[in-house]
Amino acid sequence: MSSAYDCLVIGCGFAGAVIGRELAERAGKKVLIIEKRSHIGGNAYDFTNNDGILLHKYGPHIFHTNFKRVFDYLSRFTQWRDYSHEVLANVYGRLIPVPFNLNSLYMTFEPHKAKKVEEKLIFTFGLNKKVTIGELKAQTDDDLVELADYVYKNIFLYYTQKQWGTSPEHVDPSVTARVPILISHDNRYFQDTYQGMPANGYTSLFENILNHPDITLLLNYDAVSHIKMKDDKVFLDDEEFTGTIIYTGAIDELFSCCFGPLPYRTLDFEFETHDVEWYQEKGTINYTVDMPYTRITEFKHLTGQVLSNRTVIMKEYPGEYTGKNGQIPYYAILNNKNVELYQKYKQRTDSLNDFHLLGRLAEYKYYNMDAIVERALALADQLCCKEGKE
Amino acid sequence: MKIVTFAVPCYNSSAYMKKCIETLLPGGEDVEIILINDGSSDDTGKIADEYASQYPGLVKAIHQENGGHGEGVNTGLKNASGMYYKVVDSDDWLDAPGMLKVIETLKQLINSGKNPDMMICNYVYEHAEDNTRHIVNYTNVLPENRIFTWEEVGSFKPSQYLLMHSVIYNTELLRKSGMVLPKHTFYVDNIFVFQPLPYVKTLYYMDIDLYRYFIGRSDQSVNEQVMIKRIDQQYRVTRIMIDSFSQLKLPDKKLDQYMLNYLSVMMAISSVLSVISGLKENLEKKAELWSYLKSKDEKLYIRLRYHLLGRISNLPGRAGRKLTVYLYRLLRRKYKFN
Repeated sequence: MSSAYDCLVIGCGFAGAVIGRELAERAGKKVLIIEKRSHIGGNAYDFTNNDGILLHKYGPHIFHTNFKRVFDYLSRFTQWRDYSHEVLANVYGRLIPVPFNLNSLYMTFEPHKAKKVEEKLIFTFGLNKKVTIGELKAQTDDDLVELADYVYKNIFLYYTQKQWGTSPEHVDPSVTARVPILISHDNRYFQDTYQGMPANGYTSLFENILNHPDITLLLNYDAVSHIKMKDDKVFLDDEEFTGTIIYTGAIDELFSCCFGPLPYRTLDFEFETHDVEWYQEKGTINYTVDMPYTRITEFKHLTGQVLSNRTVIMKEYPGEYTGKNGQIPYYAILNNKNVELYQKYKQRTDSLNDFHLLGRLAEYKYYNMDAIVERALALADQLCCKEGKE
Repeated sequence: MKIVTFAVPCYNSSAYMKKCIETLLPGGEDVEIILINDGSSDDTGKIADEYASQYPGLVKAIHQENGGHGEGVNTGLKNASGMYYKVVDSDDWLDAPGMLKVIETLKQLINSGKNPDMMICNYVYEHAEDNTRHIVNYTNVLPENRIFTWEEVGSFKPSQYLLMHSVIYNTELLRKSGMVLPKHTFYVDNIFVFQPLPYVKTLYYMDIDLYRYFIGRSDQSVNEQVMIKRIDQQYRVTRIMIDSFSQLKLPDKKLDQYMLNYLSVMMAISSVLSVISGLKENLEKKAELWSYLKSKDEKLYIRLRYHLLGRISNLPGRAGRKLTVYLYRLLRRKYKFN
């Protein structure tokens, strides 16, 4: 079978689908994509449940980007529904916008105090700037430090502990930086130029990306069962594969976790159907001081579906990834030890010819959807270009 | 609706069944995979249950008392909900992209209301010892990618006979044909590709190397020494084939000729194995078989008698090409023909 294909792509999430399409379309290659799940789209997969409600199986996915190229590229395969995600934090019953912004400030402190702090923030950092918890705590002004402490305790601490199962000091700064304070009255969760939701859902977007005569897709096809590595050669179903290989799966699994498994955080999702039109006022509410789950998302806000008497919400419970019972690795735990372990696996692939790692799991990195599409397009540039010179 | 049911009879297959099953899974919602655990004493049943729980709605596990390959095929057929039925042995596998093409074609044919009684594809011998392969295709005898009838069929080379590996039957047709394979009997695959044929009116052929037939493990039933040991089963199968073909008046000349040829080869294998074994009791069984045929259908007996030597060098499928050479050599020595 393998001799019939120029390229083998392992995994059919954003990384695999986009690179597969690019290799088929721009480089004229015959592409075989194998995917171990029974569906396309990776963790962005969405589906309609028995009540006709469109749900994101692996947690809420909201598209946002500043890359024009990425937006234009995906716009070939989908139309967009205008949607600006807003998130509220439930702090002892009071709902305030997050990232913590100037509106949150006025909801938290009495007006006179809020006004004073607003002026200091704008004076120190400037309007419409993003400040991280760390930066704020480093200030000498008592009001700003008090604000930092408030945000740290009520918005950041417990939420982060739930999310990472650890105290914030042990979390990599790149992760801490993702929880900023916004010096603005803009309640949107993202400030990117382009944001929205695929008009017919993500699965439909993926179907369109994959709809190319030179792409063959095999679902329920687990690379671990079908791919073997021997003497710097890769075998697909016992036949040597000599073409381009793009691996987007978990890199440790490719080598049977021979150096030990790479640590991840996983998520457990609990879906609930409620016989009301709306369960909560915004798409996502974070539980930052109580509750065992981190957040509740109500999908109808995201998808724009109109249904008068029914809605589905999802509670997220983060946990330690053990690799058992169908658990899914969601977030790489970035620290020196883990990155070193990742490097050991990566070195095993260095000697392989025309073998490329792409995506969250293969590169052990945090990528947003737009970032991985950008990476896939860049890799395609590189591969198509190389092809041209030969 | 399920387009195809894949029945996988498994007997102590824990070492290799996974590879087989994994190549069927990409069929997704269009397929049903029935794993028949034929009273195995190893982990086969456990593995089958694991797949069934991991892929509900796709994989079913059925556990039965040991009844042999044929009983596995029977059980699969009884439980099949797919419009078509395909047996995949647990040590063999399918080419997954090819399978998806076949399913897509069947789907279109079903939607247009022109679904064939039988779908035929190529099969590939995968030799374990030297990692080589040999493809059996039908491009010289069957029209491609369209519905046809027996009238349009060319003359099959003996190495090209339809095997269990090359056919996908309409499930209802198989049930209508009344075919029930005998328990605890090897070589029942010959019945599978023989008895239902008179019910097959429309055929469809795709030049796709779908089925991968694994050859090389010594316990496989095509090994010639093993065949001699199992000679009674060879006779049993041949008798059942005589039963289903004798007194049959087929309007299709081509089909009639094809079935005659196939039966003659089965008669030849039985006869030759008896001769090779050198045992008096086996020679008696050989004589009994021929007189059984004579009593059932004298015309057929005469047709086959004169047919034998012309066909003897050409053995189908499970018997294998190697065995053909071997038997030919032996026949030449014993009968001094040629």
